Parts: sequence; structure tokens; C-alpha cells
Amino acid sequence: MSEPASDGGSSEGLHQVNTFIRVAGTRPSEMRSRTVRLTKRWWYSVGLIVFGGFSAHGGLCETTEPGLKDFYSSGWGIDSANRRYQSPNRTSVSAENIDRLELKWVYQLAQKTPRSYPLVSEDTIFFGDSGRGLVALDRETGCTRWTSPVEGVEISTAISPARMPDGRDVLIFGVRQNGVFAVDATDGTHIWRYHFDEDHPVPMYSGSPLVDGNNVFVPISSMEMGLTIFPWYGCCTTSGAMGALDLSTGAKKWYTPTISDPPKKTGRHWLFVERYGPSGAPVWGAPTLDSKRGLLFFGTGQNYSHPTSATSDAIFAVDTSDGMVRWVMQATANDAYSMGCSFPGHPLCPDPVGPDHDFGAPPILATLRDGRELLFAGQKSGDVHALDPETGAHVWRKRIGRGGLLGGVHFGMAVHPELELVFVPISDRETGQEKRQSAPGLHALEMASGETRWSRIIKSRGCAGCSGGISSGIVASRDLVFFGDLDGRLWALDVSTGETRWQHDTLQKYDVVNGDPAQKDDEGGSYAEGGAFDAHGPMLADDLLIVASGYGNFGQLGGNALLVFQIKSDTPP
Amino acid sequence: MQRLAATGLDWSLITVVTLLVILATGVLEHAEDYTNIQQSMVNAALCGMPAYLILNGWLLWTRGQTAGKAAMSLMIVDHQTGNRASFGKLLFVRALIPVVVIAVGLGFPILWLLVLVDFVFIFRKDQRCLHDWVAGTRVVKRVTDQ
Repeated sequence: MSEPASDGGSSEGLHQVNTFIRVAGTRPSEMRSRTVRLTKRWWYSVGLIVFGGFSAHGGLCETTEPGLKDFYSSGWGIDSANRRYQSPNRTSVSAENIDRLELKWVYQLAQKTPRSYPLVSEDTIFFGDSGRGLVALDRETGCTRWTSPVEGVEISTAISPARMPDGRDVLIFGVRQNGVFAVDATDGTHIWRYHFDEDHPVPMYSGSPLVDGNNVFVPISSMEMGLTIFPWYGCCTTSGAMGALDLSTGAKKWYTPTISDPPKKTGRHWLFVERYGPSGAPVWGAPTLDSKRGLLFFGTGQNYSHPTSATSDAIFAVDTSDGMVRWVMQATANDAYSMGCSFPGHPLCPDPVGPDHDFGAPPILATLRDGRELLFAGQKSGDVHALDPETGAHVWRKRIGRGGLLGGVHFGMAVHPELELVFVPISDRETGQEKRQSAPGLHALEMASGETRWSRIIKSRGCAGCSGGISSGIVASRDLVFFGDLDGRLWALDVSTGETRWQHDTLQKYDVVNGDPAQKDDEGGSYAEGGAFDAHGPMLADDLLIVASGYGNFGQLGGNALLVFQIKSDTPP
Repeated sequence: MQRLAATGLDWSLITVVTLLVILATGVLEHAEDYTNIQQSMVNAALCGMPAYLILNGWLLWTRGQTAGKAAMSLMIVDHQTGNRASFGKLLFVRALIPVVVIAVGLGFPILWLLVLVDFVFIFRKDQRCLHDWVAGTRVVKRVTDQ
């Protein structure tokens, strides 16, 4: 349900904290004495405890209001077609100057599995610092302009900028188990929150929302996937979905489940526990907009239980105006898998068990030089599908590597429109499922035919907790493609050849511009740690490369470093 | 050592019976039961109370013993009189307190420190844990007729 925050008590509380942050940030020299005075006031003390980690924001900016004129992305995919391509007029980072790309500053995140994607304006970087809230950081120094605390643990999506009909600039993002939020971009004040709890008992917001005009499109997954580890759980009754909200009010416009048949009782185990199906087909990748056709494309995951549906592991096309399904292309049929399958003999592991070949990576809509449009979809099986966006019919399909539970293609691909290449990151992390030859790394396919232009295998260097391969999203520019691997290495490859042009190892401790007092090094300074790259990946904006290092899920290397690199000027100051 | 073994046995048995209570009641069987995660965890913890009763009710009523203590030939007595402690005291004071602490501790984990403090009391000379002090009981070796 929608909760306007403008007249709510909680928003007042948030406003107080925001005000406090701004007051404290007026002048560094004044900050200490003011803070001492203010902490004597109990409500501020309570605010600090409740919203936590204020002391972690060591550097507060003198100017708290961010610039909002020029954003370098519209959401997860840089553009609403999810191309993950930053054009030369949006990034100056190139093969000519990549050797001058240097670390500018590092921000210590509160948690070691960051899952947000930076939004960059002319002077500010917005990022979901789970545990603290949405933060607005000064591009130049990393100081904090404002912090917008949110209920719930994890900001799990990219951040989309939008302008409301009344002229207010807002930021839209999802919090994993707690809904979609709209906050005022100038100061982080909450405007509305929507939770699809009227349609779904346990929705999960893992995929990034997409904003188009006055519409906010919201991918919906389900907590049921996690609940299946409990053998007493009556698996499963929920369906993935795509929802649409009104940007102005946060009110629901439409809601389209990916499984239209209601779940029926299918059996029983351990005497008492009833089983249900069909279920699953969650949506955990960002949707893709086709303005010309008025369509929204998105992918689904596997079913959680039997019987399976014809809509799991599929690409959907729905009408943006009412959510009506135009076409569905199912790539893998009869794929039922649950978290219960992680435990031998678990009663909630479907029988027969499927390969868990979701579409987690958002589809990409791209135009070829001859005017043809194709929809590219990468699957955890390692398959790349080129589809006709009009009908969903295959133009070509190609499988790379082995695929599996953690990819194949996991979080996202990119395209290069001029070279007509699709860049396919392959994880191929060993999960013991398939016997095919693995191909962890980056692969460049020709858009028109799917032919491989080049492949670059990225193997693990064998460090503890490392597994090689590329699970996270990637980003391309005119002559470089950037990605981080599961070993914690950040790479820039030549788009034409796949040769390494730049690399940075993030398995290290970094000095930071903020810091949690609990995380101090031997000399008393604050630090952040790098780790595996996963989830949303790197962002290019202007002369900056921004990326969060660390992802502690699935036994990978956790880390809490938000790294900001910049091309060092070649002219002396 | 015998008390520790008895406690370990009690917790293991209670965990199994709690699982059976959860299964039989269906209190955590549906997606709707997880709309508030903390509430669902509290529900799971509260299922431990009937499990405790099912497992230990008769033994406590008749012999002042839990299953674990019976296996280790231990029994709970009134600290002042040395007689078998009253059933009400055993159930509502001695047993309920740890369950409430754990249930509330799901929302405020710092309360779990109380469980540790409770345990540490066993190293006192009289081996009375915190819940023994609150309930006015102590644990003694059961002397059989033989």
C-alpha cells in the first residue's frame, strides 16, 4: 500500500535527522562545538541511536544541496533500453587516457554486501548505503551532503532520477523487503513509499525500478525463495510480477503477475505440511522500455514448485499503459528449483529439480545500423537470446560456457551500438550442476548474427574465497568495456580486441573519507575493504569511474569500499 | 558437567518437539505468516513453550525433573525447604523466563546476553543459575530408593 510521508510522523523524524545532519555540516570548525551542544538534547541522541551510524559520516559537506541539472544515467541500464553504454559525450574515460585513471577517494559503506548502483549528477554521487540509508556524496571530496535513512535493511537497486509534475526532483529506489521509495533529491526527505502487500504477501524488491514519465515500473520477486529452506513451509503460492506506480503519488496503476493460474494444493509431506504450485517466476532484473511500441520487457526466474508454468525462465513483453501481456518467450521449460535444494533430501526441493536458469540480467533493446531492432537477453544457462521485440521470436540464440545456479549471465550485459557488439559477462562459478566446459570471462558477440568477435577468459587467481568469472553487471564506452570479477579485480578491456587496457586490484584496505569508529586500522585511521564484484557493477560518468567493491553472499569476498576513480589531468595545475 | 549434559539434552529434545509443534499447528506454514519477520521468529520461539510442556510437563509435575535431568538423575528442589519445587514455580518462573528472554531477544538481541549471564552463574559455588535465583530453586542429585 502507498504511504505518503509528507504528513507522517516518521517523515518528521527523518526531517529532524536530515536537519541535524545539515546543521552539523555547516562549517567543520563549528561542527564539533555544535555537536556537543546538540547531543545534550535527548531527541537528537535518540535520533542518532535509532538511525545509527551518524558518527560514521565523518565528512559533512558545507553545501548540502546537490546539483540536479545533469544526471549521467536514468537507472540500472544507464538508459531505459538498458544498454549499459556510456557515450563519448557522457564519459571522457577512454583508451587514450586510461593510464591516468587514479583513485580519487573511497567511501566506507556500512555493510559488506553492497547492492546499489551509483547515480551521478554534475556534482553529486547518490548511493544506497545499506544500514545508513540513501546518501548524497560530493563528487569532488566524498563528503556527505545528506543521508536519507530508510526502513529496512538493504537498498537493493539502482537509483532513478525523476521530476514530478509539480517540479520536484525525486529519487526512486527499492529496499529489498520494504518497498519502493521516492525521496526529495534536494535533501532526502521522504515523499512516498509503496509496498505491494495487497497483491503479494511477501514481495521482494531485488530488481531496479524504471521511471518513464509519470510511471514507475517495479519488478517484484518473492521472499518465498528463501522461505523454502524451512521444511515446515508450505511451498509455494506466490508469483513474480511487474507493477506500475504513479510517480506523483506512489499509487498503484496496475499489477501483472507472471503466473496467472492460482496455486493449487499438490501434495503433502511430513504429515502436516501442504505443498502448492505453480509458483515462482520472480522478476529480479530491471525492466526495459520500448517507447516506440509502448512495451516493457523483463525476464523471469524459475518456478519454486511443481507444476511448472509456461512463464518461468522467460522474457515478457507487457503494455506500459495497462500491464497486459503482449508476448512471452520461455527459454527453459519445466525448471523448478528452490533454496531447499541446497540441503540433501530436503522435502521442498522440487522433484524433478530444474537447473535454475533465470533471466536475472535485464534485456537490452538495441538498434542495428540497418534499422533493425533486437532485444538481447542473457540467461543464467549462459545462453544469449536475440529476439524480435515485436513478437518475441528468436533471431538467434547462442550458449556460452557452462551456466548454472550463479550464472552464466548473472546480473547484466552491455552493448556497443557503433561496433554492433553485445558484451556477455560469464560467471560460470562451479556449482557441480553441469559438465559442460566453462568459459568464465567476457565475450563479444556480433549483434546481427551472434558470432563471437572475441573472448577473454578471466580465471580465478586462486585466492581464498575467490572464484573468478564475471557475475556483476558491466559498462561499455566508445573504446573500453569495464567490469569487476569475483576475485576483486577491476578491469578495462579494449572493446575491439578484448586486450587489457587497465586493471586495479581491490583486495586491499583503503583509507576512506568517512568511517565507522569500529573499523580502524593500527594507526587509528578508518578504512574500507575491497572484495568480490557482484550485482550491479561499475558506472562511468564524466571523467569518473565509480564502483562498489565487495559482495559477501554465496561465500564470496565481502567488502565495503565505494571506489571513485578519476582521470588525472594531464596539464599541471 | 551432568547439569550441562542435561541442559544440552533438554535443548535438543525441545528443538525437535518445537519443530513438531510448528508442523502440527501450521503457524509458520504460509507466506502470510512471514509478512513480519520478527513476529514470525517470535512465533517460532513461542512454539517452544508447548513443546516444553509436552516434553517435560508430566515429569515436572510428578518428579520435579525435565527429561534431560531425569536422564542425568538430577531434580529441581525448593532452595529453602529442599522439597520438590512447586509445579507453578517450575513452569511459570523457571522455564518461562528463558523462553521470554529468547523471544524478546529476537527483536533486541542484546537481551541474549542474559542467557550467557544466566549460564555463567553455574560456576558459583552453589551452582545456582540466575533462573534458579529468580525461582528460588536449586538442582540436586536425585537419590533413588535403591
